[in-house]
Amino acid sequence: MKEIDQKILDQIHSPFTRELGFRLLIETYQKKVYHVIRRMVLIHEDADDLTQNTFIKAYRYLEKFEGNSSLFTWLYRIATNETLTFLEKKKKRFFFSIDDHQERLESYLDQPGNFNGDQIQLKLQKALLLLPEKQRLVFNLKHQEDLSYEQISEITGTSVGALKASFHHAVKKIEHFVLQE
Amino acid sequence: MEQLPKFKEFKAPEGYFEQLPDRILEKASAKKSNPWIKYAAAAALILSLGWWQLSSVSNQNEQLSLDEEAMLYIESNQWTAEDVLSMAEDPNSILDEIIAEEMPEDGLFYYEEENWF
Repeated sequence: MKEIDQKILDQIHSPFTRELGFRLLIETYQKKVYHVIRRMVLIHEDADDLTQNTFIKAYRYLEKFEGNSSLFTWLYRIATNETLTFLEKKKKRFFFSIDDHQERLESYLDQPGNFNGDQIQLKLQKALLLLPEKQRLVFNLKHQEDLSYEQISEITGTSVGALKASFHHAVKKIEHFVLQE
Repeated sequence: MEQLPKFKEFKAPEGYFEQLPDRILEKASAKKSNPWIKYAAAAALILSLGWWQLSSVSNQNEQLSLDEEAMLYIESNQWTAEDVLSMAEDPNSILDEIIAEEMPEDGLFYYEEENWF
């Protein structure tokens, strides 16, 4: 176990330093958690809500954390679960024709100031949006975060073989979209 | 696979990460330290429902006929789900309730589903 994780857990397990330990957990992992969520939901306000929910859930369940995985993997597991549940809710709402979340995200990318990348980056982001959420998640964790398939498997509870296939399909689809335009 | 460049990160607003720990800690401790609020809210809801029931007895006949009329519109397909929602004061909360009922309890376990490919 990483030294910082051990320190966080030691502090959290003592009633006198529990809050201090929780603060250290947030300070250590907030950027990683925020960015893994933001890449999926794009909009800052949504990412902010989900990041807060992730840490509040972690706070609630930390005493049950047994240390079988790293804190970072465990937090990512909560974060990705929260994010996929959020996106699923948005998709269900679409059936009531009130809010097309996909369109909302695409127009978010087009609005000046929201995304400050060049045209190629914008095209890549739009290609990412075409992927099913879970495939997008695998792509982000592998391509952006450089996590190993074993780590992604721990986070998502999916077999390494399925993840490899998922990533392969994601890359092919993105390449196809970018070359087609 | 090596040809795809890294995707540019979205930027968080200035100062966001400096304030985030305090905001989370405040929320987490508010949730934990006031468990009685739930019971107080439930009691208030029951009381206000009771009051509403009492005060609406006189309007019951009128209310029933309005409900019947609404049901008639829905059953005869004059009103769709969207129409009903658009008439609600807060359609988002209704949708959230429906979704919460349909979705399994959220927990720390990740369920493998379709759409990986």
